[in-house]
Amino acid sequence: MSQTKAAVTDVAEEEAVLVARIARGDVGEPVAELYRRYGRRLYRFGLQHLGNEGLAEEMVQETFVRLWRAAGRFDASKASVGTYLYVLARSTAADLYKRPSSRPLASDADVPELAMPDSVDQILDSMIIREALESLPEAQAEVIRLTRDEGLTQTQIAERLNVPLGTVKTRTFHGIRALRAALTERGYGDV
Amino acid sequence: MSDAGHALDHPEAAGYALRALDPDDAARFEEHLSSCEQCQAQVAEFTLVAESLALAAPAAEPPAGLGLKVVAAVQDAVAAESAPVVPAAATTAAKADRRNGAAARVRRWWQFRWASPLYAAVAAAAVTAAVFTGSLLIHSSPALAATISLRAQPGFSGSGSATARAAQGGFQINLTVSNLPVPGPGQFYECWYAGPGNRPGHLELVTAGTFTVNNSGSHTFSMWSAADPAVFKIMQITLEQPGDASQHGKVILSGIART
Repeated sequence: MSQTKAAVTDVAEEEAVLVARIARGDVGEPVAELYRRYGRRLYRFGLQHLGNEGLAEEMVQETFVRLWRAAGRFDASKASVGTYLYVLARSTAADLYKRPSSRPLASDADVPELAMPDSVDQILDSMIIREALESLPEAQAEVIRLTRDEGLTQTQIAERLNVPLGTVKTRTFHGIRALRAALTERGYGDV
Repeated sequence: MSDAGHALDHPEAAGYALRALDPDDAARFEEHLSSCEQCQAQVAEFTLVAESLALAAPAAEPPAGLGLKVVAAVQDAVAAESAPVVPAAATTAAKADRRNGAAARVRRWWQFRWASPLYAAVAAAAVTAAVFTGSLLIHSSPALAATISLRAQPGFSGSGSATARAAQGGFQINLTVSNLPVPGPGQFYECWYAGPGNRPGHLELVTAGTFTVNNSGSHTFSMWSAADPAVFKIMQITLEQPGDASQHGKVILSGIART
Protein backbone atom coordinates (compact mmCIF):
# COMPACT_ATOMS: atom_id res chain seq x y z
CA MET A 1 0.00 0.00 0.00
CA SER A 2 1.35 3.45 -0.87
CA GLN A 3 2.03 5.93 1.90
CA THR A 4 -0.79 8.16 0.68
CA LYS A 5 -3.32 5.33 0.69
CA ALA A 6 -2.15 4.22 4.11
CA ALA A 7 -2.60 7.75 5.45
CA VAL A 8 -6.09 7.96 3.98
CA THR A 9 -7.00 4.63 5.57
CA ASP A 10 -5.65 5.80 8.93
CA VAL A 11 -7.74 8.95 8.78
CA ALA A 12 -10.85 6.97 7.79
CA GLU A 13 -10.36 4.55 10.68
CA GLU A 14 -9.67 7.38 13.11
CA GLU A 15 -12.84 9.19 12.05
CA ALA A 16 -14.88 5.99 12.24
CA VAL A 17 -13.71 5.64 15.84
CA LEU A 18 -14.83 9.20 16.54
CA VAL A 19 -18.29 8.39 15.17
CA ALA A 20 -18.41 5.21 17.26
CA ARG A 21 -17.66 7.29 20.36
CA ILE A 22 -20.45 9.69 19.43
CA ALA A 23 -22.79 6.72 19.06
CA ARG A 24 -21.96 5.79 22.66
CA GLY A 25 -22.94 9.26 23.82
CA ASP A 26 -19.40 10.56 24.14
CA VAL A 27 -20.13 13.72 22.21
CA GLY A 28 -17.75 16.39 23.50
CA GLU A 29 -14.29 15.77 22.12
CA PRO A 30 -15.28 13.66 19.06
CA VAL A 31 -17.79 16.26 17.86
CA ALA A 32 -15.26 19.04 18.40
CA GLU A 33 -12.65 17.09 16.44
CA LEU A 34 -14.97 16.32 13.52
CA TYR A 35 -16.07 19.96 13.48
CA ARG A 36 -12.41 20.98 13.32
CA ARG A 37 -11.98 18.76 10.27
CA TYR A 38 -15.24 19.42 8.44
CA GLY A 39 -16.83 22.51 9.97
CA ARG A 40 -15.47 25.00 7.48
CA ARG A 41 -16.42 22.90 4.46
CA LEU A 42 -19.90 22.25 5.82
CA TYR A 43 -20.37 25.92 6.58
CA ARG A 44 -19.40 26.89 3.04
CA PHE A 45 -21.66 24.17 1.69
CA GLY A 46 -24.52 25.60 3.73
CA LEU A 47 -23.72 29.14 2.71
CA GLN A 48 -23.75 28.30 -0.97
CA HIS A 49 -26.81 26.13 -0.69
CA LEU A 50 -28.90 28.37 1.53
CA GLY A 51 -27.40 31.75 0.73
CA ASN A 52 -27.59 32.97 4.30
CA GLU A 53 -24.99 32.96 7.08
CA GLY A 54 -27.52 32.31 9.84
CA LEU A 55 -29.04 29.37 8.01
CA ALA A 56 -25.58 28.01 7.20
CA GLU A 57 -24.72 28.07 10.91
CA GLU A 58 -27.98 26.37 11.75
CA MET A 59 -27.34 23.76 9.10
CA VAL A 60 -23.91 22.94 10.52
CA GLN A 61 -25.28 22.57 14.07
CA GLU A 62 -28.19 20.43 12.95
CA THR A 63 -25.92 18.28 10.78
CA PHE A 64 -23.87 17.32 13.83
CA VAL A 65 -26.99 16.68 15.90
CA ARG A 66 -28.17 14.37 13.11
CA LEU A 67 -24.75 12.75 13.07
CA TRP A 68 -25.19 11.90 16.74
CA ARG A 69 -28.68 10.50 16.07
CA ALA A 70 -27.46 8.45 13.08
CA ALA A 71 -24.03 7.54 14.46
CA GLY A 72 -25.15 4.05 15.50
CA ARG A 73 -26.06 3.26 11.90
CA PHE A 74 -22.80 4.50 10.40
CA ASP A 75 -21.05 1.77 8.42
CA ALA A 76 -17.44 2.61 7.64
CA SER A 77 -17.34 -0.06 4.91
CA LYS A 78 -19.96 1.83 2.91
CA ALA A 79 -18.95 5.45 3.22
CA SER A 80 -16.37 7.71 4.74
CA VAL A 81 -17.30 9.98 7.62
CA GLY A 82 -16.87 12.96 5.33
CA THR A 83 -19.33 11.55 2.80
CA TYR A 84 -21.73 10.67 5.59
CA LEU A 85 -21.57 14.22 6.91
CA TYR A 86 -22.30 15.64 3.46
CA VAL A 87 -25.30 13.34 3.06
CA LEU A 88 -26.59 14.60 6.41
CA ALA A 89 -25.76 18.20 5.53
CA ARG A 90 -27.56 17.88 2.23
CA SER A 91 -30.77 16.60 3.80
CA THR A 92 -30.50 19.19 6.58
CA ALA A 93 -30.09 21.96 4.01
CA ALA A 94 -33.10 20.65 2.08
CA ASP A 95 -35.21 20.67 5.25
CA LEU A 96 -34.09 24.17 6.19
CA TYR A 97 -34.76 25.38 2.69
CA LYS A 98 -38.30 24.03 2.79
CA ARG A 99 -38.99 25.68 6.13
CA PRO A 100 -41.21 28.68 5.45
CA SER A 101 -39.29 30.94 7.81
CA SER A 102 -36.11 30.30 5.85
CA ARG A 103 -37.42 31.91 2.68
CA PRO A 104 -38.47 35.37 1.75
CA LEU A 105 -42.20 35.70 1.18
CA ALA A 106 -43.11 34.61 -2.32
CA SER A 107 -45.79 32.65 -4.10
CA ASP A 108 -45.24 28.91 -4.49
CA ALA A 109 -44.66 29.41 -8.19
CA ASP A 110 -41.83 31.82 -7.45
CA VAL A 111 -39.97 29.50 -5.12
CA PRO A 112 -37.51 27.40 -7.08
CA GLU A 113 -37.13 23.75 -6.22
CA LEU A 114 -33.89 22.95 -4.47
CA ALA A 115 -31.92 21.67 -7.41
CA MET A 116 -30.39 18.36 -6.43
CA PRO A 117 -28.18 16.59 -7.01
CA ASP A 118 -26.58 18.67 -9.78
CA SER A 119 -26.31 21.82 -7.73
CA VAL A 120 -24.86 19.82 -4.85
CA ASP A 121 -22.20 18.41 -7.14
CA GLN A 122 -21.44 21.89 -8.39
CA ILE A 123 -21.16 23.17 -4.85
CA LEU A 124 -18.84 20.33 -3.92
CA ASP A 125 -16.72 21.09 -7.00
CA SER A 126 -16.56 24.75 -6.06
CA MET A 127 -15.46 23.80 -2.56
CA ILE A 128 -12.75 21.52 -3.93
CA ILE A 129 -11.44 24.39 -6.05
CA ARG A 130 -11.49 26.75 -3.07
CA GLU A 131 -9.62 24.24 -0.91
CA ALA A 132 -7.07 23.58 -3.64
CA LEU A 133 -6.50 27.32 -3.94
CA GLU A 134 -6.05 27.62 -0.20
CA SER A 135 -3.51 24.80 -0.20
CA LEU A 136 -1.05 26.82 -2.32
CA PRO A 137 1.92 28.60 -0.80
CA GLU A 138 0.79 32.12 0.08
CA ALA A 139 3.11 33.85 -2.38
CA GLN A 140 1.66 31.84 -5.26
CA ALA A 141 -1.93 32.10 -4.08
CA GLU A 142 -1.54 35.86 -3.69
CA VAL A 143 -0.67 36.53 -7.34
CA ILE A 144 -3.53 34.33 -8.51
CA ARG A 145 -5.95 36.09 -6.15
CA LEU A 146 -4.86 39.51 -7.36
CA THR A 147 -5.40 38.43 -10.96
CA ARG A 148 -8.72 36.75 -10.35
CA ASP A 149 -10.31 38.96 -7.72
CA GLU A 150 -8.94 42.37 -8.69
CA GLY A 151 -8.23 41.83 -12.37
CA LEU A 152 -4.67 43.17 -12.10
CA THR A 153 -2.15 42.60 -14.85
CA GLN A 154 1.22 41.11 -13.96
CA THR A 155 2.91 44.52 -14.13
CA GLN A 156 0.32 45.97 -11.75
CA ILE A 157 0.81 43.02 -9.41
CA ALA A 158 4.58 43.57 -9.46
CA GLU A 159 4.04 47.21 -8.51
CA ARG A 160 1.53 46.30 -5.82
CA LEU A 161 3.83 43.72 -4.24
CA ASN A 162 7.01 45.66 -4.96
CA VAL A 163 8.69 42.67 -6.61
CA PRO A 164 10.24 42.30 -10.10
CA LEU A 165 7.89 41.42 -12.97
CA GLY A 166 9.85 38.19 -13.53
CA THR A 167 9.03 37.12 -9.98
CA VAL A 168 5.33 37.62 -10.59
CA LYS A 169 5.51 35.56 -13.78
CA THR A 170 7.36 32.75 -12.05
CA ARG A 171 5.04 32.75 -9.03
CA THR A 172 2.02 32.66 -11.32
CA PHE A 173 3.47 29.81 -13.33
CA HIS A 174 4.28 27.70 -10.26
CA GLY A 175 0.98 28.64 -8.66
CA ILE A 176 -1.11 27.49 -11.61
CA ARG A 177 0.91 24.31 -11.90
CA ALA A 178 0.54 23.62 -8.16
CA LEU A 179 -3.17 24.36 -8.37
CA ARG A 180 -3.59 21.84 -11.14
CA ALA A 181 -1.80 19.22 -9.04
CA ALA A 182 -3.93 20.10 -5.99
CA LEU A 183 -7.12 19.78 -8.01
CA THR A 184 -6.04 16.42 -9.42
CA GLU A 185 -5.14 15.22 -5.92
CA ARG A 186 -8.64 16.12 -4.74
CA GLY A 187 -10.29 14.20 -7.56
CA TYR A 188 -11.42 17.22 -9.53
CA GLY A 189 -11.58 15.68 -12.99
CA ASP A 190 -11.75 18.58 -15.41
CA VAL A 191 -8.15 19.69 -15.35
CA MET B 1 15.56 21.06 -24.07
CA SER B 2 13.20 19.18 -21.77
CA ASP B 3 9.50 20.06 -21.53
CA ALA B 4 10.01 21.30 -17.98
CA GLY B 5 12.97 23.42 -18.96
CA HIS B 6 11.09 24.87 -21.89
CA ALA B 7 8.08 25.66 -19.72
CA LEU B 8 10.26 27.52 -17.23
CA ASP B 9 11.66 29.55 -20.10
CA HIS B 10 8.12 30.67 -20.90
CA PRO B 11 6.35 31.25 -17.59
CA GLU B 12 4.04 33.64 -19.49
CA ALA B 13 1.94 30.57 -20.37
CA ALA B 14 0.29 30.78 -16.93
CA GLY B 15 -0.28 34.53 -17.11
CA TYR B 16 -1.63 34.14 -20.62
CA ALA B 17 -4.11 31.48 -19.51
CA LEU B 18 -5.20 33.77 -16.67
CA ARG B 19 -5.38 36.75 -19.09
CA ALA B 20 -3.04 38.60 -16.78
CA LEU B 21 -0.27 39.48 -19.22
CA ASP B 22 0.26 43.09 -20.14
CA PRO B 23 -0.61 43.80 -23.81
CA ASP B 24 3.02 43.91 -24.99
CA ASP B 25 3.88 40.72 -23.18
CA ALA B 26 0.76 39.03 -24.52
CA ALA B 27 1.61 40.02 -28.11
CA ARG B 28 5.17 38.70 -27.79
CA PHE B 29 4.00 35.46 -26.24
CA GLU B 30 1.32 34.93 -28.91
CA GLU B 31 3.97 35.26 -31.57
CA HIS B 32 5.98 32.52 -29.88
CA LEU B 33 2.87 30.47 -29.21
CA SER B 34 1.91 30.26 -32.86
CA SER B 35 4.95 28.09 -33.58
CA CYS B 36 5.51 26.26 -30.28
CA GLU B 37 3.54 23.08 -29.68
CA GLN B 38 4.88 22.68 -26.15
CA CYS B 39 3.61 26.07 -25.11
CA GLN B 40 0.29 25.48 -26.90
CA ALA B 41 -0.18 22.31 -24.85
CA GLN B 42 0.82 24.17 -21.70
CA VAL B 43 -1.61 27.00 -22.33
CA ALA B 44 -4.43 24.53 -23.03
CA GLU B 45 -3.72 22.78 -19.74
CA PHE B 46 -3.44 26.01 -17.76
CA THR B 47 -6.58 27.45 -19.34
CA LEU B 48 -8.65 24.62 -17.83
CA VAL B 49 -7.18 25.41 -14.42
CA ALA B 50 -7.73 29.14 -14.88
CA GLU B 51 -11.36 28.59 -15.89
CA SER B 52 -11.98 26.42 -12.84
CA LEU B 53 -10.98 29.36 -10.65
CA ALA B 54 -14.15 31.16 -11.67
CA LEU B 55 -16.11 28.35 -10.02
CA ALA B 56 -14.29 28.50 -6.67
CA ALA B 57 -16.52 28.82 -3.65
CA PRO B 58 -16.34 32.14 -1.83
CA ALA B 59 -13.67 32.21 0.83
CA ALA B 60 -16.19 32.39 3.65
CA GLU B 61 -15.05 31.41 7.12
CA PRO B 62 -17.48 30.12 9.73
CA PRO B 63 -17.98 32.39 12.75
CA ALA B 64 -15.38 31.89 15.47
CA GLY B 65 -17.81 30.47 18.02
CA LEU B 66 -19.57 28.01 15.73
CA GLY B 67 -17.53 25.03 16.89
CA LEU B 68 -18.58 25.62 20.49
CA LYS B 69 -22.19 26.04 19.42
CA VAL B 70 -22.05 22.75 17.52
CA VAL B 71 -20.72 20.85 20.53
CA ALA B 72 -23.29 22.55 22.77
CA ALA B 73 -26.13 21.72 20.35
CA VAL B 74 -25.21 18.04 20.32
CA GLN B 75 -24.77 17.95 24.10
CA ASP B 76 -28.15 19.61 24.50
CA ALA B 77 -29.74 17.03 22.21
CA VAL B 78 -28.12 14.17 24.12
CA ALA B 79 -29.11 15.62 27.47
CA ALA B 80 -32.67 16.33 26.33
CA GLU B 81 -33.07 12.75 25.21
CA SER B 82 -31.41 11.11 28.18
CA ALA B 83 -32.80 13.27 30.98
CA PRO B 84 -35.46 15.66 29.75
CA VAL B 85 -36.91 16.80 33.06
CA VAL B 86 -35.11 15.58 36.16
CA PRO B 87 -31.44 16.42 36.18
CA ALA B 88 -29.74 13.15 35.45
CA ALA B 89 -27.16 13.59 38.17
CA ALA B 90 -29.84 13.05 40.77
CA THR B 91 -31.30 10.12 38.92
CA THR B 92 -28.02 8.35 38.34
CA ALA B 93 -26.81 8.94 41.84
CA ALA B 94 -30.03 7.55 43.21
CA LYS B 95 -29.80 4.54 40.90
CA ALA B 96 -26.22 3.93 41.95
CA ASP B 97 -27.30 4.11 45.54
CA ARG B 98 -30.05 1.57 45.01
CA ARG B 99 -27.73 -0.67 43.00
CA ASN B 100 -25.08 -0.63 45.65
CA GLY B 101 -27.49 -0.99 48.52
CA ALA B 102 -25.76 1.82 50.35
CA ALA B 103 -27.70 3.09 53.31
CA ALA B 104 -25.78 6.31 53.52
CA ARG B 105 -27.37 9.39 52.13
CA VAL B 106 -26.59 10.49 48.60
CA ARG B 107 -25.85 14.11 48.03
CA ARG B 108 -28.40 15.66 45.78
CA TRP B 109 -27.78 17.87 42.79
CA TRP B 110 -29.04 21.01 44.45
CA GLN B 111 -27.19 20.36 47.70
CA PHE B 112 -24.58 23.13 48.07
CA ARG B 113 -21.98 23.45 50.73
CA TRP B 114 -20.41 26.70 51.58
CA ALA B 115 -17.67 28.35 53.56
CA SER B 116 -19.05 31.85 53.49
CA PRO B 117 -22.40 33.64 53.20
CA LEU B 118 -21.74 34.03 49.49
CA TYR B 119 -22.34 30.33 48.99
CA ALA B 120 -25.49 30.43 51.07
CA ALA B 121 -26.83 33.00 48.63
CA VAL B 122 -25.69 30.86 45.75
CA ALA B 123 -27.48 27.87 47.22
CA ALA B 124 -30.69 29.80 47.79
CA ALA B 125 -30.65 31.06 44.25
CA ALA B 126 -30.05 27.57 42.95
CA VAL B 127 -33.04 26.14 44.79
CA THR B 128 -35.18 29.01 43.60
CA ALA B 129 -34.03 28.41 40.06
CA ALA B 130 -34.76 24.71 40.32
CA VAL B 131 -38.27 25.31 41.61
CA PHE B 132 -39.32 28.07 39.27
CA THR B 133 -37.58 27.23 36.05
CA GLY B 134 -38.24 23.55 35.64
CA SER B 135 -39.97 24.06 32.32
CA LEU B 136 -37.02 26.08 31.13
CA LEU B 137 -34.89 22.97 31.26
CA ILE B 138 -37.04 21.36 28.65
CA HIS B 139 -38.17 24.06 26.30
CA SER B 140 -35.66 26.87 26.14
CA SER B 141 -32.19 27.13 24.70
CA PRO B 142 -30.46 29.66 26.95
CA ALA B 143 -27.43 31.61 25.89
CA LEU B 144 -24.08 29.86 25.98
CA ALA B 145 -22.15 31.30 28.94
CA ALA B 146 -19.08 29.08 29.12
CA THR B 147 -17.44 25.99 27.78
CA ILE B 148 -15.17 23.79 29.85
CA SER B 149 -12.76 21.19 28.53
CA LEU B 150 -11.91 18.69 31.26
CA ARG B 151 -8.55 16.98 31.25
CA ALA B 152 -7.29 14.07 33.32
CA GLN B 153 -4.97 14.98 36.14
CA PRO B 154 -1.61 13.19 36.42
CA GLY B 155 -2.12 9.54 37.27
CA PHE B 156 -5.71 9.44 36.07
CA SER B 157 -7.46 8.70 32.81
CA GLY B 158 -10.55 10.16 31.19
CA SER B 159 -11.71 13.38 29.64
CA GLY B 160 -14.80 15.51 29.49
CA SER B 161 -16.42 18.65 28.28
CA ALA B 162 -19.20 20.84 29.56
CA THR B 163 -21.24 23.83 28.55
CA ALA B 164 -22.94 26.30 30.84
CA ARG B 165 -25.93 28.20 29.55
CA ALA B 166 -27.13 31.27 31.37
CA ALA B 167 -30.83 31.32 32.11
CA GLN B 168 -33.19 32.85 34.59
CA GLY B 169 -31.78 32.29 38.06
CA GLY B 170 -28.79 30.16 37.22
CA PHE B 171 -26.94 28.07 34.72
CA GLN B 172 -27.84 24.90 32.92
CA ILE B 173 -24.80 22.64 32.72
CA ASN B 174 -24.46 19.86 30.17
CA LEU B 175 -21.58 17.61 31.05
CA THR B 176 -20.10 14.74 29.04
CA VAL B 177 -17.38 12.54 30.49
CA SER B 178 -15.63 9.62 28.86
CA ASN B 179 -13.13 6.90 29.71
CA LEU B 180 -13.46 7.39 33.45
CA PRO B 181 -12.87 4.31 35.61
CA VAL B 182 -16.11 2.63 36.63
CA PRO B 183 -16.68 3.52 40.31
CA GLY B 184 -16.40 0.78 42.90
CA PRO B 185 -19.37 -0.29 45.04
CA GLY B 186 -20.73 2.67 46.95
CA GLN B 187 -18.61 5.17 45.06
CA PHE B 188 -19.77 7.91 42.73
CA TYR B 189 -18.34 10.84 40.88
CA GLU B 190 -18.95 14.37 41.98
CA CYS B 191 -18.75 17.56 39.97
CA TRP B 192 -17.51 20.72 41.71
CA TYR B 193 -17.07 24.36 40.92
CA ALA B 194 -14.05 25.95 42.55
CA GLY B 195 -13.92 29.66 43.33
CA PRO B 196 -10.92 31.92 42.84
CA GLY B 197 -9.69 31.49 46.40
CA ASN B 198 -9.97 27.71 46.53
CA ARG B 199 -6.88 26.12 48.04
CA PRO B 200 -6.03 23.47 50.64
CA GLY B 201 -7.34 24.57 54.02
CA HIS B 202 -9.53 27.26 52.46
CA LEU B 203 -12.11 25.58 50.34
CA GLU B 204 -14.26 27.59 47.99
CA LEU B 205 -16.18 24.75 46.45
CA VAL B 206 -19.73 24.35 45.27
CA THR B 207 -20.94 20.90 44.39
CA ALA B 208 -22.89 20.67 41.18
CA GLY B 209 -24.03 17.08 41.39
CA THR B 210 -23.08 13.44 41.59
CA PHE B 211 -23.11 10.80 38.89
CA THR B 212 -21.88 7.42 37.85
CA VAL B 213 -20.72 6.19 34.44
CA ASN B 214 -21.51 3.19 32.25
CA ASN B 215 -19.10 0.35 31.61
CA SER B 216 -17.27 2.38 28.97
CA GLY B 217 -16.71 5.12 31.52
CA SER B 218 -18.93 7.58 29.68
CA HIS B 219 -21.96 9.62 30.54
CA THR B 220 -23.77 12.75 29.44
CA PHE B 221 -26.20 14.57 31.66
CA SER B 222 -27.64 17.89 32.70
CA MET B 223 -27.18 19.79 35.93
CA TRP B 224 -28.51 23.03 37.20
CA SER B 225 -26.49 25.49 39.23
CA ALA B 226 -26.49 29.07 40.41
CA ALA B 227 -22.68 29.14 40.46
CA ASP B 228 -21.58 31.59 37.79
CA PRO B 229 -18.80 30.04 35.69
CA ALA B 230 -17.31 33.51 35.27
CA VAL B 231 -16.55 33.43 39.03
CA PHE B 232 -16.34 29.70 39.78
CA LYS B 233 -14.03 29.19 36.85
CA ILE B 234 -12.64 25.77 37.68
CA MET B 235 -14.65 22.60 37.28
CA GLN B 236 -13.39 19.48 39.03
CA ILE B 237 -14.53 15.87 38.99
CA THR B 238 -13.67 13.73 42.00
CA LEU B 239 -14.45 10.16 43.00
CA GLU B 240 -16.32 10.16 46.29
CA GLN B 241 -18.18 7.88 48.62
CA PRO B 242 -21.03 8.64 51.00
CA GLY B 243 -19.88 10.50 54.05
CA ASP B 244 -19.76 14.06 55.20
CA ALA B 245 -20.58 16.62 52.61
CA SER B 246 -17.11 17.75 51.60
CA GLN B 247 -14.52 16.94 48.99
CA HIS B 248 -12.46 13.92 49.97
CA GLY B 249 -11.51 12.31 46.68
CA LYS B 250 -8.58 13.36 44.53
CA VAL B 251 -9.34 15.54 41.55
CA ILE B 252 -9.55 13.25 38.51
CA LEU B 253 -10.62 15.70 35.83
CA SER B 254 -10.23 19.42 35.88
CA GLY B 255 -10.85 22.29 33.48
CA ILE B 256 -11.18 26.04 33.32
CA ALA B 257 -14.36 27.71 32.13
CA ARG B 258 -13.91 29.72 28.96
CA THR B 259 -16.49 32.45 29.11
